Amino acid sequence: MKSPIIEAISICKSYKLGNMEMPVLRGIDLTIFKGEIVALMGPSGSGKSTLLGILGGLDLPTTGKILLDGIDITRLPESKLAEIRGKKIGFVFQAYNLVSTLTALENVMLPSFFVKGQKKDPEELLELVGLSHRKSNKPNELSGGEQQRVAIARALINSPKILFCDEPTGNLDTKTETKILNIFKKLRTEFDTTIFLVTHSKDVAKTADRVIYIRDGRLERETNAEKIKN
Amino acid sequence: MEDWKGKQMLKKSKINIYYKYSSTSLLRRKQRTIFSLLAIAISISSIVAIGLMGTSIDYTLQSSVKYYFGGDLRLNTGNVEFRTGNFDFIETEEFIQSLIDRGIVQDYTYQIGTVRDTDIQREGVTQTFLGLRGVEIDKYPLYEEVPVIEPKNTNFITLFKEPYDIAINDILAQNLNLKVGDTLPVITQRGRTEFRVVGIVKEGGGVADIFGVGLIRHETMLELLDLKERDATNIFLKTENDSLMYEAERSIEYELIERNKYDIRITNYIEQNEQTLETLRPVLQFFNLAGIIALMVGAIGIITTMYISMKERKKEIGIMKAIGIKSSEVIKFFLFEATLLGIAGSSLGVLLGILFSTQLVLIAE
Repeated sequence: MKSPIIEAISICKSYKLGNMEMPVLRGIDLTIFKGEIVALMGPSGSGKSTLLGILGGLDLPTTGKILLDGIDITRLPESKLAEIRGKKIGFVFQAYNLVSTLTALENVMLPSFFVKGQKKDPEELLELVGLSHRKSNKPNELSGGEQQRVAIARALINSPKILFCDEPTGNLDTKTETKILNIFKKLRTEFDTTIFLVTHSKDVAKTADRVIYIRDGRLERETNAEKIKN
Repeated sequence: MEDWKGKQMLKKSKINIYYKYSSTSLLRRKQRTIFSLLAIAISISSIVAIGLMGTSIDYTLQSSVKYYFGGDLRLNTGNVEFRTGNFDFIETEEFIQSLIDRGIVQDYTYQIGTVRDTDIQREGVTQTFLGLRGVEIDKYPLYEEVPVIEPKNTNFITLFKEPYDIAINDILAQNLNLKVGDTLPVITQRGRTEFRVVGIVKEGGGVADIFGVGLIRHETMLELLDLKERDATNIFLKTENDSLMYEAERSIEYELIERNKYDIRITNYIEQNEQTLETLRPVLQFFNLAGIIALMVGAIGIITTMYISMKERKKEIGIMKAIGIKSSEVIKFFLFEATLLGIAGSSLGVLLGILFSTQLVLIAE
């Protein structure tokens, strides 16, 4: 029996450009279940990253609800939202976004200082992403792929229920991409982590259980990964 | 993977991370850091300097007030050469002796102060004025001692051997270019009297600070001024404590001023001190104002530094928030940085301030 972890109910988002309203998302209903990998694909400007930001509580929808473990996060005050982001959600960005002044290990540890609750061992996480030998290096001494792996380890430190990844392999070559995807697979088999990916790459989408297509702010269609493979 | 138990290590590294984050970001923006450090240092140093100056002025006033004043009480009797008012020195001395017998006054001394001419030629200009004080060598002053500059390691009392020996202060020595052993002529109604300079001392007050002053024996002064009887411009009294001082003041006012109708003025050191402070008050107020302005400049320096720093690092703040750090926690990073700046700037400022104020005090002295 699959239980939902995130339910998005008629999400609309528009930006104001002078007097004009620019709708980006026009009513999206989406459910993500525990332990699955969902990929979100779509052309540029279709609203992929906006949707990810809203689902992850980084941004607020204009109308609509987001239920995370049954709690509507769109109604929460900023401090409470920050707490939930810290405890339940992990983010991985295209540009890695590591703190440049801290070492790899310190970057991984950083979120754990500010959030109560279950924490993982940062050294073990670095080992999981295959970087225990580089723990004392600063971000500028690491390759793009290595930085992204540090970012993944950082996203996992507080044992999040769901991992949001915005084009995690967008800046990486195919070989490195494979490494990252292997880590995602490992996460799923070892920790049963739910992963929500925004991607352009078909190879990335192939690792997902479901692929959702978005166009002009609406969900267009949904396929399961088997179909892409064929 | 189990719940990670390294809590103790976590706490220690949290401060470490604050420190690393702040220090690196300070070092990365070197110029701005240096400027704000300077702003803080300058403001703190001026506050420290001003504070130290204020207290040192106050301390000097408090500790040496009796020395500079000459005693606890002073009786000013007016000009010895042209007495117009009613005054009798011998009877006054007898009355003071009776106060000593009653245990109210401990000791007393007297002096004659005048201003005279000399005819020393210096670079074609004749130096005219000099102050002369005829004092009781063995009793002058009642508190502390007259510091002797030349010859070194000598006591004031041992300087005087002959009647026409004179000890001059450093200002007179400088003005007239005099050294120990030189001759100093003094012009009076009797004509030209030559004194021998036996020492250079520190002596201030009134004319002594402007033209310079020479100290001679009281008896010599009487002779110089052709005075037939003993007399004095000022009589200084020493008492054991303030209440006895007030008692002595009351008795003298009653006995000498009200009953004998002597034309004399009596002042105590406390009144004198208050007067001095009164004249210094605007200076101290100016220092305080300068301190407040300096503090404001420093504070604005820190505030703008941190404000610009936060604006510049919007992205970093965004990342921190995205990984679950609350706004209140993010602010702590910046507060820590501001604290680092503040501590470094202040310590620098305190050092500079102490250096600055000691230099200023030296100049002032």
